[in-house]
Amino acid sequence: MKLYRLLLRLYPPGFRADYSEPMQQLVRDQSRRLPPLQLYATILADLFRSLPQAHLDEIRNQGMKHLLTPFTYLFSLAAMAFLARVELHSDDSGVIVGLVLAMTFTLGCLHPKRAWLWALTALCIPAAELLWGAASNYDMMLLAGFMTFIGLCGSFAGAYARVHLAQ
Amino acid sequence: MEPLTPAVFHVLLALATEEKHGYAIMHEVETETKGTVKMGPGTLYGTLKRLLDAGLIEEAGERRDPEMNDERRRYYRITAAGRAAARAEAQRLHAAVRIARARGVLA
Repeated sequence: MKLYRLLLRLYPPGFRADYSEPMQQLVRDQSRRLPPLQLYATILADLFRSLPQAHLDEIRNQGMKHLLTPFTYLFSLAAMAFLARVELHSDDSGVIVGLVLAMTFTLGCLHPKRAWLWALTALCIPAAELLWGAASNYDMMLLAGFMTFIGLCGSFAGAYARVHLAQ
Repeated sequence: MEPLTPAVFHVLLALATEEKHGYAIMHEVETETKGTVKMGPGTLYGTLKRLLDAGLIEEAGERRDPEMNDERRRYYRITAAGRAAARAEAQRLHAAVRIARARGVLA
């Protein structure tokens, strides 16, 4: 049931608020007559069938607002991959710092409530150095601290800009 | 009136006789269609939500099912508009079957 509760998070919030409880109840009922493997095969097939429709219905009724959070997470992953690549192929630290500020600022604007989380995006730079670069441990710690600080500045500036604009 | 999807039509048919909760609807649809229309929790509640939005069914409160365990369940009932939509779909299918018979497609 814990796994199913996690899978339910893929549904749009409006749908989840109305039907999360009865859906869990239905899976509990099904689990009494189906073996676990068959139960989860049924659940996964149902998930692939019903998820697009649930999101389309939510978009029709509420607009695209509920897609903002998953979109921001996807954007942060893409930003991390992009930053790591630039870090490994460029020696210009000014460009990297500028990119981190721009990316974290955008993330802060998109989702101001999780500004602290977007700051961690900048940690992909020491991570890239650790995995593929040649920096020593001391350099890495210094770089990680510096990048987190830059990321924090960017994301909180973005979050503040968004809140300020909203007002 | 636009044709109904098989899932919507069978949910309306399942509710035609009495109020039912989600699991009872799912079970009845599976039994009546001999497993050809299968609905998981997402498909079932997605269909119920669309039917509620369209006014074809309505909620009939929460209570316990005496034949099942102790949990309270949300019941649904068909509305007059839902009955009319199911009737129109049944007539449409009946007409299609008549044509199929006349042309020797169906014995």
